[in-house]
Amino acid sequence: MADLLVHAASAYVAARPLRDHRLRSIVYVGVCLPDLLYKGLLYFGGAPNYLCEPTHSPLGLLPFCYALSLFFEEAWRKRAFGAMLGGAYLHLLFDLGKNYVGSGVILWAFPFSMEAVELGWYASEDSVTLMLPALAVIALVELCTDRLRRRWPLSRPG
Amino acid sequence: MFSNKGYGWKLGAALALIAVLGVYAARKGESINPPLWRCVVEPRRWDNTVLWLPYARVVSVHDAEFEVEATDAKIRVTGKSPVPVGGRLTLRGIFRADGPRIELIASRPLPPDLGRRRLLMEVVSVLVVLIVIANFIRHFAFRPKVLQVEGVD
Repeated sequence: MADLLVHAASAYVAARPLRDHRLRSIVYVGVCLPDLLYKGLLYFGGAPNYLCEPTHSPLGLLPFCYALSLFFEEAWRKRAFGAMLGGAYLHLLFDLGKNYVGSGVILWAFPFSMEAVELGWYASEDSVTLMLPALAVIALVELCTDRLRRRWPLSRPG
Repeated sequence: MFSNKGYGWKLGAALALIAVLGVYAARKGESINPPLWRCVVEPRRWDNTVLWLPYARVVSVHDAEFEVEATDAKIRVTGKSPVPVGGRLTLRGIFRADGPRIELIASRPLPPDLGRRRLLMEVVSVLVVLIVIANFIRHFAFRPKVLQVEGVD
């Protein structure tokens, strides 16, 4: 959960253009989900590290998102599943760029392989330097969206 | 798949799958990147295993090797230390039973203010989670009064 502001900013860029604010709120939950599940299992569940790894793998996230989507009302479940999974995959995409000196961070083919991959673009502890740019991105997106909506307001029937 | 039909079975199956995947990952991952203390206690068993030490402090530096102290054990590392004595680093290497020692593959110095950075990131992350959850509740919480007012219109 070390850099959720950066993850939240990425979700903000991706989801802010969505007209449905409820769908947006699920994407934001989705982008926090892998870390919430990982830390939840690790610290509150006392689970070993590798037991938590499915929360940071593309296929491993599917049952988590599906189970959580079942708690929504029936009409919303499919959309909730898609939005949550989209947010969670965005999280994995950003985590993929981390540098763990080659030991890997994402089990990309779990459960078929335990091979972990990383791109090694930035160190986890360097996320702190990305916080201000992340806030700037959020502000910029908000500003742009606001201007666009003023120029082309949502047309309402009737 | 998302309907109310067989709701309990679907939810049960999803939770069972989560549990099975977790146990499978834990079993398969047990031999991957084991904790240093296990390797030191049973060097023959973990000979030639690739290790990743997320956090280690350099205790002493020699010509072609240095000694590090991780959270759970001390070990010699063959290779050149990227930081002086007292410095912190993260490293990956191959565990060798003779010694025992680690043959360095890659390393990266860690900043001296790592603890403060982590604390800041954790605090900000907790705030982000609280905001995200509050936003979610705002949109999805059942609010009878709002419904009643909307019903009047």
